[in-house]
Amino acid sequence: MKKTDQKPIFPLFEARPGRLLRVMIFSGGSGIEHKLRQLGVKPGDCIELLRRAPFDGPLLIRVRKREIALGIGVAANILVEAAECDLP
Amino acid sequence: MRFALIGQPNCGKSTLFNQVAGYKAETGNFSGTTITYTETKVRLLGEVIQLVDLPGTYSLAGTNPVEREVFNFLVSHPVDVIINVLDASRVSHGLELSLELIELQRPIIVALNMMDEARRMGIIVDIQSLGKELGVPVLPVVASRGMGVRDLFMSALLLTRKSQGPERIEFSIDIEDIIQKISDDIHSDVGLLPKTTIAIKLLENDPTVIRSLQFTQPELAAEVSVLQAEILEKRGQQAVWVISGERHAISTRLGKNVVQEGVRKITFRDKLDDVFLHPVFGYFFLILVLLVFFQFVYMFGSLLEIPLLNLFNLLEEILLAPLVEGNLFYEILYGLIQGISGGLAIVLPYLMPFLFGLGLLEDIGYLPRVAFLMDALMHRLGLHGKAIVPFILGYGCNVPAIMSTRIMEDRRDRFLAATLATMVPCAARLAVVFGLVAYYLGPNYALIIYIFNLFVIALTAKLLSRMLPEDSPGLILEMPIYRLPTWRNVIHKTWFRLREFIVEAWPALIIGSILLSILTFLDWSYYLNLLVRPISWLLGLPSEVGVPLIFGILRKELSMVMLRQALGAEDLSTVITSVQMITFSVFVVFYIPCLATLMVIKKELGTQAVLIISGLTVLIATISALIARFSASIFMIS
Repeated sequence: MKKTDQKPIFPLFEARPGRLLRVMIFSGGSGIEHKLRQLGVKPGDCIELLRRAPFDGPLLIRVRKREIALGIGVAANILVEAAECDLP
Repeated sequence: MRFALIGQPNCGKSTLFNQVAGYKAETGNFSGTTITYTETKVRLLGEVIQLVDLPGTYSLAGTNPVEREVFNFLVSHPVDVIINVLDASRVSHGLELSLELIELQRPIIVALNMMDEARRMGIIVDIQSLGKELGVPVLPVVASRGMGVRDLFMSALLLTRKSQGPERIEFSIDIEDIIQKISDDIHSDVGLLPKTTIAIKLLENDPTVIRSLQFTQPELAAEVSVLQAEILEKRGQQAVWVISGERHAISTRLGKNVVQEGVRKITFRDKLDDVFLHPVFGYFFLILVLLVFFQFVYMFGSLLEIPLLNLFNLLEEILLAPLVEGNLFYEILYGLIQGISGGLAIVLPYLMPFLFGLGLLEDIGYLPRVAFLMDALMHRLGLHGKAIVPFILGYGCNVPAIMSTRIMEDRRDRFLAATLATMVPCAARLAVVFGLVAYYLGPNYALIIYIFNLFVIALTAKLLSRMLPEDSPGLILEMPIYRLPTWRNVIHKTWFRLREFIVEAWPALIIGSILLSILTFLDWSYYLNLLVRPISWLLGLPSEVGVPLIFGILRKELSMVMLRQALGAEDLSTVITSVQMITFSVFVVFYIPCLATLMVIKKELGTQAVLIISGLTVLIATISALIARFSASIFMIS
């Protein structure tokens, strides 16, 4: 994919496990943003979606050597794009 | 002299604490809250040091009440040395909290923990350069094996001879200018904070600092918001994110300078989650783990309960034999023995293995996995995955169930989970359901009651969560890596929690028991029955069930034992109908939790919660028993 191409942005909960993704923007309240930033998830960061629980359960992501479980409501508020990046 | 342990969650802070804490370590409450911290005395070179273990937090700008208390504590309490525990395998992220602590300009020492773990991962930390860059002493420790702990405390003690704290590491020049501008205008104190920290916290909209200054220097608010707008314009981001970004940049730079990253190898532990979090096998193992846990608790509990109860029965016979039945002294002594045996023979044998098992699962790191697996289901009930733990524990005993609501951050979630946990039929209520319904009507009816109970709990959860809307959108939970449990840690934790029951709930249980005995002596059973009459009439039960139900609050299985006494029949089927048995059992399953549980609710959530939960459960019990009464009358024509 060329760099000039506009990559589609989609909510994290639509992503499939095993993908590397770049965090673009948080929607939703600043409460989630605060907590996520404290755990090291920030816009521009690269994350890996490791697995998801069945029945619309939480998603497990890896970011900066931490594994973090995100409920589906949280994952809906994180917009990402597919990325080829190194995990920080 | 006071030292405070501060670190991010899962950094091994409590393990370090338990290495030095004796069995006498105290649990205290932060003033005006039910949030607890642990404190212990450490003797070193003739000095007595008060060591405080503060809750784990990712940042001083905590997002939940527990995390907030860490900052509030530092604002209001003089601490001689801050011991900042840092996970050696994740230095650069942990440093963000260290930077915030250094900003406080108080004596601080960094304990670089889990050095063994880091080495295994091929990570090499240049301890000397880290110390030089931060301007604070850094000491390597392996808390789980007690390595380096003594040196750490010696260095901390040396630090107290220095009166000055470290210099803070400065942000970008434009931000520093703004911080300087604000701190020049600060003339009032906020606890023990230096002015630059007050300025930074104002830019970060910290509620503690804002609240403190709104009366002493209300004019600051306007100035701060002008400067915040300036930052937003210049940097295109809100001031709070700019500042956290500055700390992030510094810690990333420091991390790059002092940490040599190894090659990440996929280890056995990484593979564990492929099984434990598997969409199918994960649930299979969850059930297996719970089954083993329950078996262990029941085996251990009944092993102790039966001989202990026998002992107390014997004691009762010996002590009461020389006294005249019906005498005031006789009744008081009877109440006293009942209260002591209730705590010692019935609650403690189950509570001990429960808390031990819980501590073990916690130490291994399995509990967050349970939350991960159950989040979807609990979400449909308006709760998070973490709420499953008290719910499961409730089947054994409600007391540890209520205690375990502490793992939840939000007060609303804790209240909801506690309310639901009290409706879970514990082992004592199992005795009533089995002794009455299963014994006289067959085990299938007991099973129906258990299923009906689940249904009512789910419905209550739905209704309550609609009344108390969620303010957070869901689960955000770090999955710590699996670790081998540290026995010292698990045993200490079990003991601290056990002691809370012994010191706080048990005496109340004994007093309540004596009070009820006095009521019996005064022969108020007529009035007690009258008190419960509205409910017993509504449910079509004989008025004599009043006394057993009231005594059931003391200990649930008393409702069953005393029902025989109250109705004056050994064979209950001769005096009450099958429908009445079912109605009575359903009511017993739901109404007011036992006194020991109420005491723990009061401690964890306050008196108001006790009143609400008691009222609510009576209401739910009455409605459920009514439903049971009418459906039983339709389906069982007896």
